[in-house]
Amino acid sequence: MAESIELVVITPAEVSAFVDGELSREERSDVAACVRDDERAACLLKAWQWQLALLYAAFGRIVDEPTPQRLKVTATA
Amino acid sequence: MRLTMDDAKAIEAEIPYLRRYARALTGGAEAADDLVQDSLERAIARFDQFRPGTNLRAWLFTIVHNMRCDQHRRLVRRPMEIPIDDAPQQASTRASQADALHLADFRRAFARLSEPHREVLALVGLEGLDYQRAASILGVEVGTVKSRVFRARESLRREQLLLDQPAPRAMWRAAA
Repeated sequence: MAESIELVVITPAEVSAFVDGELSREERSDVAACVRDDERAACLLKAWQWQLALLYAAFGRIVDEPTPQRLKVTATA
Repeated sequence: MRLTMDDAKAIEAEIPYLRRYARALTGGAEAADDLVQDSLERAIARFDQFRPGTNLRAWLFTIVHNMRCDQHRRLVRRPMEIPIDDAPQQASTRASQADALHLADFRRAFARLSEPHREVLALVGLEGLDYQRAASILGVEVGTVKSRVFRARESLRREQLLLDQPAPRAMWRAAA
């Protein structure tokens, strides 16, 4: 008797949405399972998480800079 | 438009985020602050259009986005500055040399993305907005944000790989 195998197929676009926390619970577990079993999916996820880390390293701390004088907002009322 | 003290304070509290978003879009500190200044002027002039209780940061991001679109429509378009300037170095002074190199390459790769790709990655990846919010700021469908973020990541990956390429070996061999 043939064993039934559940084949889960995910797209790179879903991995991208996974990175952003934009998937439903079910979709999330599909992606998590694929990443566990498929080296290419794991690589993709890692590369995109690394991109996010670099994006934050490159620009993140700008919010800690003091606001330049020319951008100060004054009340008019 | 009359701006109360509370309004002014509320807007000013969002300026660091506007500056960060603008820096990711323009690359240069000066150009970014010019963009923020223009956007603030517009925001203050139209503050009566802001609905209290809604998200002020998102409203301001929308103005920055629209301002940027207007700039693009004008004849002269300033190209994205390749940022090798002041601020980024400050941010990485404590990082190791290798990290600084990674970061410099990353900035260069990011600067080579199209504006819509930089924009969507800045909103979702940097500012941490969900697709719904990013879609309303950019005036597009949620599905468009989803596919745009994905394509932006792919383009960025390609740019990163291009920058990682060592000097072509064939040329070295030919010279030797």
